[in-house]
Formats: sequence, structure tokens, C-alpha cells
Amino acid sequence: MLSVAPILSLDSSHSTPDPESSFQEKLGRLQAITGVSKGPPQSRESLFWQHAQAPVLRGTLTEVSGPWGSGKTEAVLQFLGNHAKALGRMAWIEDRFTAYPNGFLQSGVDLSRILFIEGGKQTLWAAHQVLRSQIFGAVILFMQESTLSTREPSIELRRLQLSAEQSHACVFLLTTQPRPAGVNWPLALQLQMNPRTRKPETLKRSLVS
Amino acid sequence: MSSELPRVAAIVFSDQPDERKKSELAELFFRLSPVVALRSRAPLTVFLDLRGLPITPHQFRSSFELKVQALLRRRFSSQAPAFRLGLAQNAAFAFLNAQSPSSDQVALSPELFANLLDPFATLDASILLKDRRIKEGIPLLEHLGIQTLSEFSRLPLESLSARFGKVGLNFARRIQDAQRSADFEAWPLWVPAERLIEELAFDPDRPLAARLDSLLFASKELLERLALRLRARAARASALRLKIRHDKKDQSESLLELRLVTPQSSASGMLASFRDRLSGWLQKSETDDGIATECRILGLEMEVLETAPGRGSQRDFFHRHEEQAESWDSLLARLAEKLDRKSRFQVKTIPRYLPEKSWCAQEPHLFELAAKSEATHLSVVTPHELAMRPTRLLSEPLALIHHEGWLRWPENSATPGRRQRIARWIGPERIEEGWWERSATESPIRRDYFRAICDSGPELWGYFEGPLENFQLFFLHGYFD
Repeated sequence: MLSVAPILSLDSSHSTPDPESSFQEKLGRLQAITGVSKGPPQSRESLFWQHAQAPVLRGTLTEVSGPWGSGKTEAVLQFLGNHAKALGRMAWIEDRFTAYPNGFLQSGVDLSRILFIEGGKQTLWAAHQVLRSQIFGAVILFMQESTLSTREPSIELRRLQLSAEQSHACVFLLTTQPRPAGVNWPLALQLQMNPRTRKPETLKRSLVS
Repeated sequence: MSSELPRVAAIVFSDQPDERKKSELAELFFRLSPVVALRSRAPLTVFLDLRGLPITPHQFRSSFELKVQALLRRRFSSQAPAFRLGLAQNAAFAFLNAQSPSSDQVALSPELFANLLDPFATLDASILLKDRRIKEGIPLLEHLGIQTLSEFSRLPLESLSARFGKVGLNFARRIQDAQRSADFEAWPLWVPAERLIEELAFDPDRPLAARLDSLLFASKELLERLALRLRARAARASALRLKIRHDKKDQSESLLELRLVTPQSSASGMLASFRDRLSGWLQKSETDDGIATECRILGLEMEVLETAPGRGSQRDFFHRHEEQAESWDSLLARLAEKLDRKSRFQVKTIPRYLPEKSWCAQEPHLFELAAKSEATHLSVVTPHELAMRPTRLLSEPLALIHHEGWLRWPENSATPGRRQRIARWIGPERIEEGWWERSATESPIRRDYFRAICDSGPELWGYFEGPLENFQLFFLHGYFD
């Protein structure tokens, strides 16, 4: 596939570029166009989440936590509805399916764009498969804490983050409890829903872009 | 019949095996003749053109029969199918000869007409069997004392056309042409189906280790070769078989068969589906006898067992439609293999008010991003667009006790929540439908749905049923998560 992103991301601050680096840049761009190489590293695209007043980076994990009925699903749906065109296809994965798809429509989400998966004990595996296919712009993962805790959660999340990075997809983890502070979780954005205001509060925002 | 050497052999089998075995039988007889035709309808028959073969006239029938027997025994050993051999100048009479050695005494019947006119059963037999003039003509001939084939063959052709029509005339000509050679017959030649097989053989001194990564690495090469061959044929694989040859003592090879839920043509898609199967085979071998880690793999053979028509072989230069469709198919196949076919679905909304009946799962199809305009999905107005709907729905409504503004959950409930004070009720929204589905004795569904905003924040969605005095039970049906 042709990619023009590296060309657009050129830094224009270099008024007199070094001939050697200029050649390398040109070579990188050429390689990127011909598909020989990934080219120079490009910055991640971000989509602004109005509800959370925070950007969501593609290829990263975003955690939205909150007790039942606190509005985390609605918050994510609003984001998906606002960026439906940019995100394209979406996968909604739950270990036990409790979502009510008709409730998605009021957020402007087109159901025909969503592949629903009820993964049971294989929810994480299903998420990896979905990300590996590289055809989804957003993956929403809703699972009980026990599904993740049976393994090494930080390693599992790291693997998920790598898959997300490769597929360039926005991955949302919906949980009831936020991941505890003090551990370097591979989460670019960590939000917690306030049940009273039904608004997300930012617990962590990664500086990586 | 003349004393000339027969030109056609008909080998009639008493069993009617499956399609694969039929092909296997037909292929086997290529060792005797290069011209083979197969009658797949019962009785299963293989026709061989014997012309040009080194034939010894002396005791030809018995020697040929022995040859066929030996061939079948060599291939199927003790399970060799029983057969009858017919030899004649053409296929029709060879078939007749196999069923009845003295053809002169064969009784007239509609089946006989059908078999002689169309020995290869390429036409629909029912047309001949139901021919009115043949059905009515045979009893008349019997009444006139003409009961056998030889007696019928002596009738003058001119008298047959009026009584038996075109079919009878053709039949009589066929009988009289018994001595004519196979040159006058159009044989539906049997051609073996093309087999797509790729294999890798390893040096016994440097065999492949029985590890998942090694097996996947080697399988990938085979699948890539097969993918190229499939692409050239504009086909996709729907079933594959991997034969693993190893040096295990009691068993020299293992077979792994994989039926793909959606046909695939890319090596990566097929490999992803094979990964779990190979991993399972290795684990099973280890738990069974610990052999997998010790045994050496000497060869791999990958075969495409079934194919399906593929997408266009030309790749779009500007879009990734084909790649995405391939990835989509591969993903669905992997999910169906590991989970369940019904575990991955897309949703279709149904214009009904009852929440539990307002949607259904359907088989996923690839959503073409460019094909859909914004206006299309808003064109259908469904009931849920008239009022807010929750994002979570319980599979069964849960009865909560409602008392003085409090909702109390039953003790043994697995649903989250125990006791909530309701700060505000929003509603009601009456839903009354489905009366046409219920019998006369059942009461109609009439629910007054409320959105209950709890003091602590959560928003519930449920209903009261029946008259006002029954407002002690609030049926929780979902929540606005």
C-alpha cells in the first residue's frame, strides 16, 4: 500500500538540511512509498475524546474503569460515534456478552461496522487475533478482572499493547476497577468514571506521542 | 455376438462407495487402459477401452478378470470390492454382459432400455424410464410373445417406430448394432481431479525438530507454494491436509486435516488456522507417549482437499480490498475454530419494541468502508430511536423489591448491586406488544419502563408490570453503563 504519511510528517524547521541526512530522509521516504521499509518513524495519530477532554492515540491502550452503571460504555460509545469514519471497522469483545446493541445507536455508532465477539475464557486470545488481522480501527475489550488476573496481567497487557501498536488500532479496556498505581502499566490513557457526574477523570496520561 | 476380441470392458461393482472412493477406483484402472469412463450412478461401473492393449486371445476373459482382481487386491487388500466383468464390442453391451452373461435371454424392461441407450448414465434415467410408449409397449410385446432381447432384436425396424416412437427405434438400432465397435460411442472420459500437493523431504541426518516453530516455518513454505497455485487457478482452499512423516516406531506418519470455515487463498491466513492444530498435535503426542520431543520429522506433505472459487486474481493497485477480505475471512475462521461459530456475529436491529426481541445476531460480513454513505444507516427508524436505551441488557429481567424509594436485590443474585436508593424516576414508557405471538390464555405483555437514577450514581432501566398496586416489584432489565 502506498503511504504518504512520512512525507507529510517532515520537520519543516530545518532550513538548511545536512546533505547526508537529507539523502537518508529521501531514501527513507522512497522506501516507505515502495514498501521496502517502514521509513522514518512517524508520529502516532491521535483522536480527540471530547467527553474525556483527552487525546486517544492510535496503537495504544486506553483503560476506562468504573463500577457498573457508571457510564463507561456510554463514554466509549460517544468516542466511537464521533470518530466513526476515522476508525472504520470496530471489534467489540466481551467475555460474557451483556451489551445491548440497540443502545449503541443513540451514540451514533453504526452497528454494521462492529464485529461482536463473545470470547469466554479466550477473550484475550480473541483480542489478539482481531488485532493481528489489522483491519480494525478500534477494539473494545470488556472482561471480568478474573479473566486477566489468572495470568500475569502486566505481561498480558504488554502483549496487547504491542499488538495494538502493530495494528495501529485504538484499544479500550473497560474494567470495574482501575489498575493500581505504582506499576508501569502499558496504558497510554487511564480514565476512571465518576458515577455521580458520569464523567471520566484522568488518572494517567502518557506523554508518548 | 461374434468371436472377435472384445473392445470394451465394463467392471460393475456391487457397492456404491462415496465420491472419493469412486475416483480412487477409476484412477486405479488407468494401469490397464488409458481410456476410462465412469458410470457413477448405481451400479457403479468403470468402462475400459481395450483397443491397442496387448491382448492374448486365449482365455481372454479369465486372464483379464484375474488382472482386475489382482489390481483391486493390491490396492484394497482384503477389503477389495466385489465386481462383475462384462466384455463386448461397445460399452452398452459390455455393461449388459456384466449383468447377464447370456444377453439373448435378458427380459425386456424399461431399465434395460435405459441402460442400453445410455450405459454411462449421463442422462436423467427417469426420462427414459417414464416414457409412456415404452411402459405401455413392453406389456403388449409380452402379450404377443416377445419377451427377451433377442426376440425383440428380430422385429423389423419399420414396425417399431409407430408403436415405440423414437426411443424404441433407437433401442432397436442399438441392439442391432451390438457388433459395432466403440468408435460409434461418445465416451464421457473420466479425468482425475487435479491434486494440489506440495511436499518437503528432510535429510534423515538433518531432520526437522518436532517443535511448533520449526513445523510452522516449514509449513509456511508449503502453504506459500500452494497459495500461488491456488491464486493461478482463481481458487481458495476450503480443506487442507498435512501429512507429517516421522520416525516413530509404531506409526510412520500422522495426518492433520483442517476444514476452513471460510475458504482462504493466502498462506498467512491458512497458517494461522494451522497453528492451533499443530500445537494441539504436538501437545497430544507429548501427553500420549512423550514421543513428539524425541521423534524426528522426515517429511511434510500438504494437500488441498477442497477448493472454492476465489476472488479475482488481479490485485487492486490502489486499495487493499482483497487483502482485507482475506484477513477478515481468516479471522472468522480462526475464531470459529477456537470459540464457536455463534460467538462472533454482527447485529441486525429488528423494528420491535420489546428489548429482548429488538435485535438478532447474524453471520458477519465484511463492511466495505467506502461503499456506505452516512445517510444509509440513518434511513431506518427503529423504536429505540424514540427513547433512550441502556447499553447493557440482562438476559432475563431480575425482580427487585421496591419499597419506599429503595430497590433491594434478591439474596442470591449474581447481578451487581445490593440495595439502591432511587433519587429520580424518568418515565414511564409503555411497551405493549407481542399479543399476536401469545395464546389466548396468556396475558399480554404490558410493561411500564422507567429509567431509575440511583442516589449513588448508577442508572438502571427496568419496568413495572401490571396494575399500579403491583409496583412492589421492579424488574431490572438493563443499566446505562
